[in-house]
Amino acid sequence: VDPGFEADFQKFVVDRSGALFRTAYLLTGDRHAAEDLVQSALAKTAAKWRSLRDPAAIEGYVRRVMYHEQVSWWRRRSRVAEVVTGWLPDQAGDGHAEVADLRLVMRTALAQLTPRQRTILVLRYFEDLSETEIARMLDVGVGSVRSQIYRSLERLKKIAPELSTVREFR
Amino acid sequence: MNIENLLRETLSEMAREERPPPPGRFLQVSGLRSHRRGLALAAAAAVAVMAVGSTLVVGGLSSRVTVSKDLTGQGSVEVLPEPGKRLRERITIKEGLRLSDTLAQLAKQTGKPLREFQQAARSGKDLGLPSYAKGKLEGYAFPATYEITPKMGPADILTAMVDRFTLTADKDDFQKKAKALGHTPHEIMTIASIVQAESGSKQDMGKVARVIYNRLDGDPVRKLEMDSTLMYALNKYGVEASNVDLKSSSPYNTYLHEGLPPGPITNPGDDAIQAALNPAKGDWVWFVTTDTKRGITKFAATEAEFFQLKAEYERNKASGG
Repeated sequence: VDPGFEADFQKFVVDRSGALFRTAYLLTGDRHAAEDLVQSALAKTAAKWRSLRDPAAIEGYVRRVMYHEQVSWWRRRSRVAEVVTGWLPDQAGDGHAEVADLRLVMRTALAQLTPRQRTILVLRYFEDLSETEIARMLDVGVGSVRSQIYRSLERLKKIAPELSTVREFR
Repeated sequence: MNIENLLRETLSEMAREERPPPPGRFLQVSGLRSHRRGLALAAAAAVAVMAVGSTLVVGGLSSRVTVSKDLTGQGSVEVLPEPGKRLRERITIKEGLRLSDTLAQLAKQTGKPLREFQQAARSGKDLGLPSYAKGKLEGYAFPATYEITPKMGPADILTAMVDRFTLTADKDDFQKKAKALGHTPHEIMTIASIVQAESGSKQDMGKVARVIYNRLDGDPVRKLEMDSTLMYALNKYGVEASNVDLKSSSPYNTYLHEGLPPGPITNPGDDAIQAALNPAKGDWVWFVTTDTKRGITKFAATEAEFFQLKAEYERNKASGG
């Protein structure tokens, strides 16, 4: 029995649950699914607590569990909670949508990716992990990560063609 | 500004907007009153506990359902607490199918063209295969019941099957256990696939696995001499190889070549993987299915015992068994 466990665990949750939740929210696109994801990952981490020790290793482990669960099959089904807004901002006649509108288009398009595609984009463009780091995190090859990033971006453009014209603004 | 920067901005905007719940929300369920209790509760709170023992528990934190495992032991069924809110189709892939048969099953059950599944299966690296699979899907298309939404194409379905494998492997510390057994993860999957093909029942699996290890790593080292690997090479089905079959130069002909075939010959289920990771204790180096009708397999440690079993098999065959 490790008497320090309870205090350590509490401290970790107090310090890090906010950041973990934000990532989980980006991964799932749904508040409740995000809470479940963090909760589940914390539970699994608690069970491994003693073998992890180092705080950096602990956070790494929680995140790893989160990413894996998000791309894994059973959770994909629980994604029914994810509601596509179904709302696309009006396109001005001259095609000059505001950047704020484009962000909304982006959100809607993101909701239509598969969990795996979305997870990889969040890791690359929000967590700023390198392709190599993502590959290690998800236990897949670097080539696979690279091609999936490319295909996910292409998919976004296909879902919302106005995103491919983004270059023209600014 | 390009799409990547727009994506960056959108994601950080989303992250800023969504306020995290208070940390206490995450401490409640862990119920850390005592260490032991804390861990037990924490484990119970894990949203999915994959097939452990005879039941599996799946559900969210608020609602949990327990489903007893499919009685036939053929694949495991997962159930979500809430009934389908969108159009879904449920397909079941049995344990121990070869990839070619798995793809045919998928095509049949989804109504999508077989060719598309075959094509998707070939682009192994896009399916999220672990690196040790060397880009080949055979062995890693995990048999289970899957729910398919209309949005999912052949590649998504195959990816889901690989994901299920990865999840199972993660749960089991698969790579670590493989190392402890002195084999690579790919070799363990190859062993599991042979265990799956050679075992008449779940009870036999641990012993069949032991026979494989005893032949591979024993002193003296013996060729595996398993019909299942040869039949795979010849794309045939059956239990008894002919003399012509035995001459095949395929690396899957374990009568000719020492050691394991190059890769898995079926897609094994959890029981067979468990057996490969935890072989029964014993010094058997042979097994004979003495009664094919009733699926009775017996194990032998000496040549004399082996010949006795063979005689028993012949007797049963002669009496119409």
